[in-house]
Amino acid sequence: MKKEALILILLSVLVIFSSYAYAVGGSTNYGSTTNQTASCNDKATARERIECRLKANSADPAGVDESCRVLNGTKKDNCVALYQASQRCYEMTNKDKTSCFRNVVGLTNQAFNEQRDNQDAIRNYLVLVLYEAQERAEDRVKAGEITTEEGARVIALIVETKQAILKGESQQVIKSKILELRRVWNEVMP
Amino acid sequence: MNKTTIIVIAVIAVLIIGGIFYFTSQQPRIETQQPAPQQPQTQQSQFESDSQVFAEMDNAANYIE
Repeated sequence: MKKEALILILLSVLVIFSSYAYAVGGSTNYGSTTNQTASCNDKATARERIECRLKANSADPAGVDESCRVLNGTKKDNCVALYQASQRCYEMTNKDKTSCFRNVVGLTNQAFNEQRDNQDAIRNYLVLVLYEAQERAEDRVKAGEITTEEGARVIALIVETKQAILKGESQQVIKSKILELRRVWNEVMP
Repeated sequence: MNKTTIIVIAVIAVLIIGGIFYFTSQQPRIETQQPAPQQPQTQQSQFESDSQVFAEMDNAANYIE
């Protein structure tokens, strides 16, 4: 009788831990592609890493956006936190989305001109708008409208632009990168 | 089965059911988080098309110093 009870307890414990592992794995959305995506981080260039992740159809398992990788310390932590805080915004549409971006970075819905003292917030807002473009490019790769190579080309430019913003580059540098991005975007997108 | 075995099984069953309810209720709760209250809308852009996304990039970039 005692042996039977012991087996039942062991089976029950196994079921509990299995359900826990299932719940944790399910909530991160990485599933079986984790190893494949993790190996993308070994690629030498950002473009290769991006293309690898597009092919694996998954994000960095550590949840670190490519644009945050070049940063260190607090800047990197803030970058990762910005992406995490903004995730809910990307499920919204149009005005709700832009309001959500502003809310996340600490801007009001007033004109930028009235908030130009809040430079960090304006830079972070621009990063989130660029991330919107990145999401659109990824969606087009998933839909088969553009190839992974074309998607990687566009996204690598988006990442470069975000990195310039986050590293505190001048307006002139940032604008020239946006201009180049727009040129490539128009060339690649159907 | 004796009384102790039945009690142990009952406790474990409660733990399993409780665990399942806990984990299945966590994810929707995160997804349905409400955004913080928003300011009155005076300057908002829309992202209906790619060109509007780029227009908003240009707009924000103009205020970077």
